[in-house]
Order: sequence, then structure tokens, then C-alpha cells
Amino acid sequence: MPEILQHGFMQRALVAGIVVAVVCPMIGVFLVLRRLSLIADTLSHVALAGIAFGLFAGLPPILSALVVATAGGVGIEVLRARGRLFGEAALAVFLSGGLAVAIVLIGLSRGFTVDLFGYLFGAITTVTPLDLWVIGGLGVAAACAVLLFYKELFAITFDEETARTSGLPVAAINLMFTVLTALVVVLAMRIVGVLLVSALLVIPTLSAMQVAPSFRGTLGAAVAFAVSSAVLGLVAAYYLDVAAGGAIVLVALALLGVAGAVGAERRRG
Amino acid sequence: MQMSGPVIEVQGVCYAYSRERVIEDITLTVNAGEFLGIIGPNGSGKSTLVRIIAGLLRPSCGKVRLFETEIAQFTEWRRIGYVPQRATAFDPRFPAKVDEVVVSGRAGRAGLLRRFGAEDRRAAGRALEIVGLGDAGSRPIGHLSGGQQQRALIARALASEPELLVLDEPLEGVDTEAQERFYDLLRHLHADLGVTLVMVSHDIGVIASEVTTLACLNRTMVYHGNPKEFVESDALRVLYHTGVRIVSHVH
Repeated sequence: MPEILQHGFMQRALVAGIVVAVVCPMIGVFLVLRRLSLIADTLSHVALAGIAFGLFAGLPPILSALVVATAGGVGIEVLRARGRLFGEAALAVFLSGGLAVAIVLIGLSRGFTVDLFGYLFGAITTVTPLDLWVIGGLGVAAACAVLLFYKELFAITFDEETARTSGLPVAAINLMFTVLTALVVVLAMRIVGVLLVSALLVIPTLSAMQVAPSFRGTLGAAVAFAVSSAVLGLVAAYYLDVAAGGAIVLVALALLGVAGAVGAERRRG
Repeated sequence: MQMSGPVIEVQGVCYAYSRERVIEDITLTVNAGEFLGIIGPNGSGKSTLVRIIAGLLRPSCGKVRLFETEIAQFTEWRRIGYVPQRATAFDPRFPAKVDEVVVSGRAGRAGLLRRFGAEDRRAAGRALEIVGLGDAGSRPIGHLSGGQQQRALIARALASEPELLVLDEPLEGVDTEAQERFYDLLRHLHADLGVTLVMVSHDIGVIASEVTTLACLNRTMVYHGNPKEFVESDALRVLYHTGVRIVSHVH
């Protein structure tokens, strides 16, 4: 067994990283194609308010983050569905609002603690066995939900209006999808941190779009890109002794560069 | 596909965005087998009317019945195929094969929590054959020409085997040659397959020679009846140049 796999914390980090890397692009592909990429970033800042509240009130931060991010997501979706979202401005309101609440709550408690830094920048190597169960359970649930509603999500993402005319319960599916997004954002936060969550949802999707012609292929390639980024990033972080969250996202960006070059070459050829 | 009876009944319908009424007191019946063309100047409310019929907008007043059921109670949306403007329907960079787009037209018919089966794929394949894209199924949707993309959107609507097809300015941004091919297709759907058609257009000259009934809108109904009489009448000149509202109403 290679040295990296001899540590329990690295085993847990790899498993958690792979689960999150599988489920993030499954949500991200739909978000990017609906031009809602910024929602992930917004929800991660809203979730930070939930984390801060949990640390302040002595509740499990993951739980309070889930509740607050879901509420924020539902708020955004309601505004979007009513056409009240003026461009991205309303997202900016939620993003800065979440951050502001977080900062106030952090000030009211003991200021910046190790826990809080873990959520800001990711702390994959501190994943406990209990965390692993939570991440695994919720991750598998989210992935199953996407697969179960795959054909509806595709129809809505391709052309929401026509999907509505074909009798699909578009509003209900959009709401469910928002809850899934909030869930995945909170899971990803543990791995790469609040500030880099949207990277895991968006970058693998963009890479996949460079090389896959079909939607199914794009979804599969995005998962492959994300899992590769997570594994390579963690290995690099271990041997080079750098921050895992940053390393994962840098690998994802490097893969985007490669995919872009391959895609351009193919279009030329 | 043989049917009789009214497919669409619109009665005294109006629609207002905030306080401005874009259509007012529209009454109209479309029977099975009809081909209705809806024309009118920009901002005349013709798109609003078909969006009400397609269930995308709720009228501010009046009644709409589809297949003899109040629209609020209507659930058999698979009987209606909707074809949007190509230019606004989707991004040409969307990563999807034509097959994937066309079969998605059956999502509502297949039902929740069910995967597409062999019958769904067969229906999608038939729809592609009908629109003349039988060999384009595995191509990315963005690689098709504008006219082909529009026909792919029709195939998506046909995939659920609808009895009524509602088309909202489907020829926006489609070149003339492709337009002719498009009308050939509509004629085939209407005459050979018995599909009832409702189509919004602003190309009056062409549409008047294709449809069985013409409705001309300018907020209110300006003309509703035989297309030939409309062309022979003075309505066109009056409507587009002087904007006088009620010219004639023939039933």
C-alpha cells in the first residue's frame, strides 16, 4: 500500500473527495447550462451564515448550514421564477447578505477560530468517520435524485418554457433542484471551502463541454474530470504539503486548459 | 388521426401586463383539422394569444377550453405540441445530440420517475423521419443549420404524438429556402397526418396561401375567417398603414 493510503485521515479524505466530486458536477452541469453558475457561489456564502450561526449557538454547523442554505436557495428560486431577478443583482444581494450575517455572528462569538477557517478554505483532511457517513449518505441521495429526474431536468434545462407546455411540474422540479444545489454546496464546503465551492460545480462542467458532443457524455465527462481533480489534487497536496482545497481546484483548472486545447484541435481537424 | 369537435375555444379573453391590456375580447374556435394562421403587427398580442393557448400565460379575463376541457383542469398536455421561436428556444452551444432533444419532447408523456423506453425512442425516431432529419439523430444540435434546428424543434413537439401543434413565429431567422421546406412539412402534417395547426407569423403573403383560416390581431380581433377574402379585402393596407381597428369580421 502506498504511503498516502496508510493514514486513516487520507483514506477518509479520498473517499469524501470522490463522493463530492461525483455529485458536484451532476448539479453543476444543469446550473451552468441554465446560466445559474453564480447560484452556487451565492449559496455557499449564505451557507457560511449558517455555519457561523451554528458555531455561535452551539449547534452542529453542517446542520445549520444546510437549513440556511436551503432557505436561501428557495428564496432565490422564488424570485427567479417570478422574473424578479434583475440579471445577477439579486444573487449579489443574497451573497453579500449571507456574508454580512456571517461576519456579524463571527464577531459576536469568539472571532475566527480553526473551525471557521476550515469552512472558509476547506479541511478535507480533518474529515471524521461521522462526517464521512453524512457526506456519503447525502451525496448518494443527491446523485440518485438527479438520476431519477434526469429526463425532466434535461427538458427544463434545454428549454424551460416548452417543458412547461408539455405538462411537466416545472416549478416543483426547480424547487427540488434548488434544495439539491444547497445540499451539494454544503457538502462541497467541507472539501474545498466556501470560497471555492462553485469551482467544483462549474469548472469540470466547462471542461466536459469542450470534449463531449452529447448531454449524457457531458455529464459523464464532468464527473470524470471532477474525480480526477479531487484525487490528483489530494495526492499533490499530500506530497507537496500544500492546501488540499486549492490544489484540487488548480488541478481542475489545468484539466480545463487541456480539455480546451483538445476541443480546439478537434474543431480544427 | 380522425377527430371532430372543437380543439381550442377562446371566449372573451383578455390579457394585461401590469395595467396595459395587450389583447382584449378575443373569441375564436379552432376545430379539428383546421390550420389557423395568426397574423398582426408587432406588439399586436399574437404571441400572447398562443402563449395563453399553450398554458404559459393565464388570461386576465375570459375562458379558454382545450379539447372541450377548461384549461385549468386540462391535463392531457401531450395532445398539444408547442414549437417556440428557434432563436430564443435554446443556446446553439448547448451540448446535446438531436436524439436527446427530440426524445425530451416525450418527458411529460412518459411520466415522472420513468426512464425513456424503446417506445419513446421509436416515437422520437419517427418524428425525426417526418421532419426529414432521419439521419441527423447523432449530430450535436448546434451543428445543424437554422432551418434544420427549427425542424428538430418540430420533431421534439411531434415526439409526443400530438393532435394539435402550436407554432409561435417558427420562421424567425430561418432562410427562404428552408422556409419552403418548412411549409412542405406543415402541409404534410396537416393534410396527410391530420394534425390541427395554429401558427403565428408575420409573413402575411405566404401564410395566407397555406392556412384554412386566418385570424388577424391588433389587440382586438380585426379579422377572422377565410384567408382569400382577407387578402382581397382592404384590411391589410388599413391595418398596417393607418392602424384602424375593426375592418371586417367574417365567420
